[in-house]
Amino acid sequence: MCREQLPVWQKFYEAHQNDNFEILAIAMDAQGAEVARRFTEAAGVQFPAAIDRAQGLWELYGFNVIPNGFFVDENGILRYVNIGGFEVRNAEHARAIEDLLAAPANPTTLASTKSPAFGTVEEALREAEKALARDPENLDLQLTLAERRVESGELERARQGFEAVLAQNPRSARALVGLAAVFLDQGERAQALAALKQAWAIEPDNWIIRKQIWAVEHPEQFYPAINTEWQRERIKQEKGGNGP
Amino acid sequence: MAAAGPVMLSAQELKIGEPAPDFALPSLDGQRTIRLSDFRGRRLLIFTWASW
Repeated sequence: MCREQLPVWQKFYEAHQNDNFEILAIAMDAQGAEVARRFTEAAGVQFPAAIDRAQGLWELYGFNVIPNGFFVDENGILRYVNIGGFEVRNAEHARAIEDLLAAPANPTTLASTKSPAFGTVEEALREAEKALARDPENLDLQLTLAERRVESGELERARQGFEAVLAQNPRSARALVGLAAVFLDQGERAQALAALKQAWAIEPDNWIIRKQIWAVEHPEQFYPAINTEWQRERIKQEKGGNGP
Repeated sequence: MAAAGPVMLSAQELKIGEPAPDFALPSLDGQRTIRLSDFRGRRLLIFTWASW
């Protein structure tokens, strides 16, 4: 289970704090930051943590399961990818990251010893507005702006944005999951589930959408403890898939 | 997702040794927007997870 890895990653981070190293944990929870924050706080996570509610990252990075690990070097070059089952307690996975950290820095690199500085949500919203103004027909930019509006609490405008994308591409799972995030924030659980189920029908192999539906429909099976027996039963009932 | 950069509408084939696609996502505290490019000069492990 993904969330159990957080305290172990925190220890790993502490052990490598002099290796010019950062961890970015990205929660794929459509329910919002609060549910994820409970676990990063309990784990004492000190490294940066973000959330991808509408889950555009799966399109960009091409995954439909979690947990995943991606290692990016000082120059922004991808050095390691592990999709599905990436696990800090797996000695082989942890060693792969250790080996990358042990490697000498690329001599052409622009090594930085400073912690990264991040912009504000407000700035990102303005940038997304400007980007779309330059290319108004671009669906990717329309989705990006709608996602920025969710983050800024502009829920009605976000909903309109996702619906406008769906009017042009009814098979946009990203727009449907974004819409579900809006409905969840508005307390419209039934509508959120309907949107998530539509997204799952479009991407039946997507385990992130599938488990997200379970967590919204049956939170008692996930919080405070994850009931893996319930999940096995559920998979049998849903007839299909080989398990998360 | 990626507010700047090339338009990406479909799943990308990630390649080791190529630049990782940039993205922008809100921090868990809701205050900041975290971009991959903010980590330039640092070595970074991205770990994707969920509470469920």
